[in-house]
Amino acid sequence: MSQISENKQISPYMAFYMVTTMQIGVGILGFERYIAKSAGHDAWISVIIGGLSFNVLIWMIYRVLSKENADIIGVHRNLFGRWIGGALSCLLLIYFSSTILTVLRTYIEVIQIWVFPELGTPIIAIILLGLAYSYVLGGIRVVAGLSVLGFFLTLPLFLLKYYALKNAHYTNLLPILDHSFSDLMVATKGVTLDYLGFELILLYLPFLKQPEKSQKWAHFGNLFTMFTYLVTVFVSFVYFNQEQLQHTIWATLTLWKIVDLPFAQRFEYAGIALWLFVVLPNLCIGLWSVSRGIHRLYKIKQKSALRTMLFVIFICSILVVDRQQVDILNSKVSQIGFYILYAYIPFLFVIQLTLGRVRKTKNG
Amino acid sequence: MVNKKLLIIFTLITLTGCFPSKKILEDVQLVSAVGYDYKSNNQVELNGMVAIPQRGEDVPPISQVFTATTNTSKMARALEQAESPKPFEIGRLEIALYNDQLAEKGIYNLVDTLQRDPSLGRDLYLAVVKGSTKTLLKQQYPLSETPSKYLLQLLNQNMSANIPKSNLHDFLYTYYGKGMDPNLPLLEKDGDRIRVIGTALLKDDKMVGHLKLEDSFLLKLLMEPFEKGIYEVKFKKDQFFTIQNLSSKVEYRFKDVKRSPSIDIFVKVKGRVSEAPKIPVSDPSLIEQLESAAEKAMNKRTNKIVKKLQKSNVDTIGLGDLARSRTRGFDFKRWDEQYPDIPINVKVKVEITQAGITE
Repeated sequence: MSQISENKQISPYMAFYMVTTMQIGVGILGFERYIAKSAGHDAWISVIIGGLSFNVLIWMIYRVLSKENADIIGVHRNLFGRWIGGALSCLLLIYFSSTILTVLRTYIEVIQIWVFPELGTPIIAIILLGLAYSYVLGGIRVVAGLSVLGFFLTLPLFLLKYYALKNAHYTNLLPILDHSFSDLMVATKGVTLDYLGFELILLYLPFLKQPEKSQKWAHFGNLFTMFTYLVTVFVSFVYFNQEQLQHTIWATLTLWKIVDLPFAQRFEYAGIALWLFVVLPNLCIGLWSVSRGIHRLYKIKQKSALRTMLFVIFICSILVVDRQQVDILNSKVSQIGFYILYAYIPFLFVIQLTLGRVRKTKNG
Repeated sequence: MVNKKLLIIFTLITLTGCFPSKKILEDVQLVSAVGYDYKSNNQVELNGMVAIPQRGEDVPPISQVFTATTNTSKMARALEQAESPKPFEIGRLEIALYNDQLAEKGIYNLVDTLQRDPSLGRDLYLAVVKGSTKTLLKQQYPLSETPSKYLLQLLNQNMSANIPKSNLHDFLYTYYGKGMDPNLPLLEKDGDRIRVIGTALLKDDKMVGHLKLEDSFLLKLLMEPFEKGIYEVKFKKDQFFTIQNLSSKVEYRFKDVKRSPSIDIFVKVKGRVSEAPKIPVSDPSLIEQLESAAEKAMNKRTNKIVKKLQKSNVDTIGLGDLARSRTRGFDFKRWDEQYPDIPINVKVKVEITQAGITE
């Protein structure tokens, strides 16, 4: 592929911020009850297992991409030829677009339920997408900078866990390992859905200077996500008991409710507003990467690809009407994501390995 | 290009019309306490207390009560609206009261509307009232500006000393959780005072009994470590003394949970003699006697309380949950069947560290 000029590239350590911001999206606001369904109070073990397994996947992605020295679209073309490879890339781009839609629609739902019940979906969608559009136009460097900003702005939210710990029931976590191995594995499958999102690196990796150096940072990013989830799950588990957790849709958000600052009685409103800095980089990285992918695949200008995407996502976000549909959207998209990561990436890895050997023997 | 920019600006300006209407403090009525009274089997009377600020400096707000009868509480709020000059806002609700007759029928549906509302906090106080909540909320109390403020301070103060801690979150925690049952403070209107008369014991969401205020202190000792509260002990004939709790600790020991469980509860109270008329407390040997007298009295009473809880089949202390946390593969069904007959033994240890500043 054509080399990308250095002034459009970003530093390798940016991989850290881009990976964590993509992973920690809106899921963290209420993922506790899903993972606790099967493994109960032991679900934190699944958080660790899931996180570590993703390090293996990151390693695989880097191996696949660095061997061809290209993004996923180039890899597809090299391995499967123009037509099949193109079709696979196209499917992948559709998946990525649907993850953007999911993040957008879920955040809109949170705003509607918690803050502005009267505000219609199209209005919030226009504001968010318009904002995202203006950032994405600035290119990958602006988008990456936004994710750094979002990271540091939301970091202090960790401190708020203190309020929940004041009212904690630590015995909720005992006895450790009271669930069977298969229970833990089911929960691990649920957890992996929350680690999804970093796979966009398949598209933006060539834009990182010295990609091989960025791998370390991508791993760190994933470990930081794991740490965040562990803290979140731990605090929610000692604050709520398991039965209560099953009745709580947004456990993390509900925890913000108990924050009692002398100048603000209801912190969750500020928290939801602050969460925009998690959602916005999420949307931007997604939009940038996918429009870039479309540009590479169909030779359309990236800007017009972006506009078309925004329009389609806007229409789709209006079509998702109520809580049930948002829930279905979330679970379907993350299921597909699960199979892409745990089946398709290893598949690609193996294919490349064997094809590489075949090529070598042919040449040798 | 200019046209395009103009179009964007125009769109943005017109978009503001779509935003939700603002809520200005002066234009809404903040409900600070609600009370639910029993009407008939499927009807509830809802009383919302509103503090209306008055013009001028240092003029305390006037409290007003709006009442409506209906099937569900949200409906009732809509009905109240018909009398009120301004729309109600419940975001600042601090207290929800339930009439005892209603509490015996079950209050979950009413609490559920509170927890469902995202504008409400989790530290809302719930309490059961003996008698009508309407008369309690309508009364003007000289001790505080509005009934809701009075109630808030009253409950705050008592929960740190005499009665177990309980707010909306605690109620839901114990209601949903297995192996534990909720408790709520029990209040009564007494002329122009409100009195905490004890603790209401609930099974699921229904009140099945209550403990008196003195017993609530002992129940609190069994449930949580805390630093306040006073207990009166009879020493000899006509001789009473009171112990002020400086710090208390509780420890549970479970034996043979899976087959035939038995529980030992150890309570350690460090206290000081705060009142001891007719007793020469400076005598060191007497202190020991006082300790043993207090231990004996508290032992007897706490064991009685635990028996009472078991008899009404309520696990207010949360022993089932504690047993779960110490047992692998815990079987709740078996535990629930066994609970009323489990031998539970409470041992209170009292240590008197001081007797005030006089000899």
